[in-house]
Amino acid sequence: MLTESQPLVPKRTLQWSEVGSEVVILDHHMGELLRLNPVASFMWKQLDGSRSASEIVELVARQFSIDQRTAERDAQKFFRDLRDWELVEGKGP
Amino acid sequence: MLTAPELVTSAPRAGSEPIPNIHVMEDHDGAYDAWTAAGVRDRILVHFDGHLDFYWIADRSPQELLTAQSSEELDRFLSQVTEWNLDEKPLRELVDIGNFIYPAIKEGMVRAFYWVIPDPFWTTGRERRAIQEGLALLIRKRRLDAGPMQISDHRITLTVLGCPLTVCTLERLPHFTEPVLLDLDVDYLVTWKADGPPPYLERQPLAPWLWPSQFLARLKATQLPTDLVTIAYSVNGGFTPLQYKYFGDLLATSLADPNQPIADGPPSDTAAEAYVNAIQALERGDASTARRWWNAMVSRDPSYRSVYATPGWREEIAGRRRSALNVYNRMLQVDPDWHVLHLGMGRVLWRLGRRGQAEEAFERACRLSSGPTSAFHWLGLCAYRRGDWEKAHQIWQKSVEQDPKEVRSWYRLAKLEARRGSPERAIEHAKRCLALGLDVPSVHWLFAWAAWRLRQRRVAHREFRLWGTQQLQAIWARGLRWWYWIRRFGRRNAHGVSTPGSQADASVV
Repeated sequence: MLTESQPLVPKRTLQWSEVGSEVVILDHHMGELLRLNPVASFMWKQLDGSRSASEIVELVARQFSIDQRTAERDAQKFFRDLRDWELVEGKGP
Repeated sequence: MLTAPELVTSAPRAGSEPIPNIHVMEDHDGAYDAWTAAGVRDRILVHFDGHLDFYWIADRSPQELLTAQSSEELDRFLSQVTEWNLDEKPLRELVDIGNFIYPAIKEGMVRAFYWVIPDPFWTTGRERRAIQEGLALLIRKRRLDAGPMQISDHRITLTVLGCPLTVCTLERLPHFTEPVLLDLDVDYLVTWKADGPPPYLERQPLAPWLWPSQFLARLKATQLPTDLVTIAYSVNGGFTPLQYKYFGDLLATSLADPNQPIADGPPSDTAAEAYVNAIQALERGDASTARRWWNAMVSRDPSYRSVYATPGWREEIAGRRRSALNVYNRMLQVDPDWHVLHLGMGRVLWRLGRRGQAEEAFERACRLSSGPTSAFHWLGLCAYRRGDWEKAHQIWQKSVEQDPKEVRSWYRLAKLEARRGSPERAIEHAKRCLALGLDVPSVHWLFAWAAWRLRQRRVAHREFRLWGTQQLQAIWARGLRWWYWIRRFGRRNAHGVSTPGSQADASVV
């Protein structure tokens, strides 16, 4: 569940870049390259630690012209996957 | 700085004039180290070998993937799976006896590459086709880095990494006007077939197709100028039968001083002479004479007392278990305190289902070994199969303490921990297996199971995916291997066969 008190940022050990409309993430630790689809790429780029979860959901809904509920559901799943896959960490104080 | 014509006149001609700079090594990738140390650049390489020793290395840094300018370019990068060093290993770790010429070309040491093949490789259409198929496969793997192949009556040419590669016999070498890197593998003299099994697997090892004196005479006729020679024995893990290892020393001595007469037989008072006599006596059934020669061999050169000296291993690999048992029994009359023989006997007894006797043999091997030995792994397996998991765990733990690279014991420990319901330890051991190169379906399955238990979903997904892909490949490869051994040795010997490099025989000492 997204919470206001846990802004997330990409793990410092990752390298990533934008290639066309997708974000490509290089995880040296796992020896893997990950490619995010356009929606996931957009959400990934918002993870700079300055935006709250609800702000990101708002941006997604506006950017892709979808309703709030769908945006929240998609965002929830995405952030849960990022945590499970150890690609993000909580922003430090 | 010498210009090219002066270089030609100052460089010694191989076989005619003494060459001062000669490096002799066991493993052929030592040639790459010798060239690196000498700081060679832009040289012509003349490589006498039964094998090309060039293969693609995945050495591109994965960080380059992030520089793709478009999704299409990224797709193209990712389709080049043989190029990316995703584990980010140092280059030297990726270099081995089968690919060391790749970095030599890529780093600018070599600008033209001549692979001089044994004459028998060119005498039949079948052998020539085998070479062409091998080169065609090379090109298919990396089309952007390998040029088209051209075949003529006397040679094959193509380019690899922009470097011209010419495949020809000794007589078809061109005249060189600058000193070349002369690189010799002893197996050049003893390999008859381009795609056959290693000569040491032949029951009756074939005589060399070219003896050292004949080779040196022909080399002398080419007037090949050279200032750096590398010579590889290539016995351990290579293709040279131990009985011909001494060819490397003969070549080195003769190239260093061409005026010395050369005899092709093993020189007197050498380990090679003693080894040949020991094996002949053993085959006659004369154990006491064999023992005498064997002891002489060991005292002259202890490195000859290796698994490559025992025909038992060959019989094991070919699936001739009773014959292997016979050989080990006879050799034990010659060297009863050599743990390798007890270990070999234990393996054969195990496969024959005589587990109790196998365990005794492994115990003897462990007792007699002065260093790490895979006998501990087998002993642990005996305890495990008896249901004594605690003892098995102790033995495998001891095994990896003695030798942290004993990968099969790590694998057994991972399986045991999984059975005991300890996924954290199972994962730790599975990771160790992968780091040591045991990249097989069963390890990925263990890893996937343990990760799933620990709710590490990403890891579990990845490992399940790898398990699935490799399992399909393994089924395909097993089918091919079965077909090959049936063709080679007949259906009777194909049952339960393992081949060199298979996990069952990954360690024979």
